[in-house]
Amino acid sequence: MRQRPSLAPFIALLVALAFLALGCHDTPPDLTPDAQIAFQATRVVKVLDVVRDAAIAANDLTPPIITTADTRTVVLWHKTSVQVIQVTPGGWKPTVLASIYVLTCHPVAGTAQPCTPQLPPAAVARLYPYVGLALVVIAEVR
Amino acid sequence: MDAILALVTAILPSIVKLVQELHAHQNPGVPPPTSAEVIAGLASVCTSSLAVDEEWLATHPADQG
Repeated sequence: MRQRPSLAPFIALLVALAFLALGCHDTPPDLTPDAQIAFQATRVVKVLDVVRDAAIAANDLTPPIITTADTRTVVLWHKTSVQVIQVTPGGWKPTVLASIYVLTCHPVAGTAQPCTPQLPPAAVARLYPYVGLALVVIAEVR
Repeated sequence: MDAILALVTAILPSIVKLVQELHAHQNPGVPPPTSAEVIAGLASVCTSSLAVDEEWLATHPADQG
């Protein structure tokens, strides 16, 4: 049986292009170094929220397209990631990237092989555009 | 495919809001935030973000499947 094409790569591309086109990676001028770090960290928390919200929205659909157990995995991942950012706003990046890799095996988040994602492939596919969006924003953080 | 479109529709307002928030500081009509505001903003965003997690986890206990 012929597999139907997925919209996910196209959505990821559109979202990434939208962000790049908007140029939202610019940090406001005249911020102290700590505030620049906080500004970047705030953007990352907000984009991680989008991943979490996508999982919750997918779980709320009838029928759900992400199970409650998998949504819990995403929510717990999000919670831990935000706590890491909150505690170490200047040093969260390796930890959060590693956690995204463990969750999804997204190739932008890591390269360790073999990789078995914490989420099942169907859930990874559903969240792929949003994880890709998060990785675009994280990549802009220096 | 329908499920993916439904998910995109459900999450689109969040993405639009995110883009608007991220882009707000580039609007000439909006003064750039001060350093103190940015640092306080991070604490506020983390708190409200974690509150959503806690609320969802509380309403979806692990034994619920």
